[in-house]
Parts: sequence; C-alpha cells; structure tokens
Amino acid sequence: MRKRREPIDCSSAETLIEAYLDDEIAAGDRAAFETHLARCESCTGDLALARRIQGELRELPPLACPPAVSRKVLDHAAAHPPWSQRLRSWWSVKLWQPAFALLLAAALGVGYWRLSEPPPPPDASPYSEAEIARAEAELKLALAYLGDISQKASDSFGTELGNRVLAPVGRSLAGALLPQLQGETPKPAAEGGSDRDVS
Amino acid sequence: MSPKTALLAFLLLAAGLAGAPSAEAQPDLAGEPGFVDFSQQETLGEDDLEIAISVKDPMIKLVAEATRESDPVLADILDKLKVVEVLVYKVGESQRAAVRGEISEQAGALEELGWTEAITIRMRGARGHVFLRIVDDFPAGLAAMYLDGENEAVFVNIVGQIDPAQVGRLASKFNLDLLSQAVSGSLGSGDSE
Repeated sequence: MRKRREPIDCSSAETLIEAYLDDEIAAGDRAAFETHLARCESCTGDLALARRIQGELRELPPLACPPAVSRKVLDHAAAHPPWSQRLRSWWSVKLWQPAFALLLAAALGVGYWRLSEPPPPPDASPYSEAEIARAEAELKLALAYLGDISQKASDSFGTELGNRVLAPVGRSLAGALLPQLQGETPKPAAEGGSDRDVS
Repeated sequence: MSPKTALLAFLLLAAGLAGAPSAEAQPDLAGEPGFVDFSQQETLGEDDLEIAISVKDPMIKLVAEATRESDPVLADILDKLKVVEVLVYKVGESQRAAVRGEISEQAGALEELGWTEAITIRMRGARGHVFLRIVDDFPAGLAAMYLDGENEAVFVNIVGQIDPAQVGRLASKFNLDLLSQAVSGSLGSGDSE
C-alpha cells in the first residue's frame, strides 16, 4: 500500500473524500488528508457536504424490486444455468457412467478396426469397372511397348552379331578357302562389308 | 488429473484415433528413386503426343486384384509397381536428329544419376536405351527411351520393384498393335490414378 507523507493539494484531497467517508482510506493518505483539512476551509466544506449527502441517501427508504420482475429473473436463471454448472450436474449424475462406457467401447472398437483394417477390396474402390478395365489395358500396352523395345534390342543384337562378327568371319573363311578349293593363292579378306549396318 | 478427467482425455484420444484417416498410398513421384519425368521433352511437344499413359499406385493395385485370377503373373508384377507411364510421340523427319540427340543427353543424365544401362539399341537409324535403377540391390525403376527408324519415339517409366526377366516374359505375350487399338483415344482422357 502506498504511504503518503508529503502534503497534498486540494485536487488530491478531493479524490480522497469518498474513501475517507467510507473509512477505506490508507493510513498514510488519511494523515495527509487530515493535515490538509486542518488548514483548508474549502476542502473541509466539501467533506461536510459529502457527509451530509451520504447520510441523506442512507435515510431514504429502500426500493423493492417488483415481485413479477424478481420471479422472471429467477425463473430464467433456473432455466438457463451456466454451461459449466450444467456440465457438472450432468457429470455428477450416475447416468453418465453407462453412456461413457458405451462410447468408450465404441471408440476403441472403431479405432481397432481402423488400425487392423485390411486393404479395401476392389469392390469398395471409387473407380468403376470400366475405369479399371481401361487401366488394365493401358498397363498391358505399357508392358507391350517395353516388350517391343526389348525385341528391338534383341534384333539389334542379332543384327550386330551377324554384321560385325559372323559376316566378316564368313567372308574371311570364304576368302581363305575358295582359292584353295580353286587352286589359287589365298588373298586376305577385306575387313567389314558393304552391307555392314552400323548406325 | 482426476480419474474422470483422465477418462475423458482417454476417450477423446480414442475418438481421435478412430476418426483419423488411414494413410493412403499416394506415391510421391519426386521422391521416388525410380521415377523419371519424360513429359518435359525439348523437341517434342503436346502436338506430337500420340499416346499418354499414366497409371499410378491405387489403380495399379486395383488392376492387380482384378486380374489375379485370370492372369496371376500380371497381378504379381503389378503388385510391386507404383507408377507406370508411357509417352509415345510421332517424330517428323525434321525432328529426328534433335530427338536422337535429346535421347542421348537423357541417357547420359540418367547414368550420372546412378541409373544402370541394361540395353542399348543402335540399329538402322533407331536408337534406344533401357535403364534400371537399383536401390539396395533391388530394381526400383525402369526407364526406356526408343526412337525407331521411322517416325515414333517411345518413353517408358516404371516405378517399383521390377523383375526385368518376368516383365519381359509377360510383355512378349501382349500384342502391341491390338493393345494400341484398344487404348486408342486415351490421349487427353486423363490419367488412370
């Protein structure tokens, strides 16, 4: 709490009047306020006026709320308790226990089912039979293209083998053997051939 | 915490668990080591596109289930795949050289990214590369680029665990022309996801 020791002026004193009357003023403020009142007639007058108004207000008879209004307010409050109070009241009722047990069992069951769920069967797919059949044809076509390329590779290998190896060997053999068969001097065979297919 | 409050918290937790959506297997393509984006070609554009196929994980699994009885080998292969994409472009004579160069560049880029070249095709003007992406000793993706000797370029990307031999055996059963006719009109009809 703040302690006020230094003297205060009229404007500060004015803010303390109400707390002083209600006896809610801090001890340090009280001392400073009373010191100021001792030498300030204006503030003393203000304090007296405030005290009189407060006393007159307290002497007024209390106003009663009309019974109809009170009843409506109370009925509304009873019908619409705060959600936290409603939750607490529901939680305290024993009915929640079987409901909770059922809900928990259902949640666990569904969770277990989802975790152990096997891959969905084809029937459960979002694709129609026609779409699957089309995809099957496309996949087969893709594999057919791959097979075609492999076949080309095989042909290429056969052609290369024939042109680069077998044909020169055959020509060499022919060049070596034919002259002997014909009784001529063998001539070295030319390398490669005009039909060699090198790209 | 009172027993009632604890029970309430537990109930809310259980309810949250029950209501949580299960993880849907949606492939994050950018994070897939076996994924290659062939859609951004420099020379070839939308106008040149003849066939565009993109089938992703949920649909691939559905097809696998649908074909398990009639074609168990196909179903086994599809089970391990996440994405299958094919782009087929028509290539004009004026575009051939640029496309061939671009395919070579893409092949080099894939090698730099750690892909392993499994097949190289060089025959009568045709160029082709088939790459595999191996992660932890398992194939995680296949990328194939092929420019034929005429007027077609094909780009294939398969993401997932691929057994090339198994795929090759199965692919040889499929008739490319018949399947092309069956899927004709797929261009512009959207992806089968």
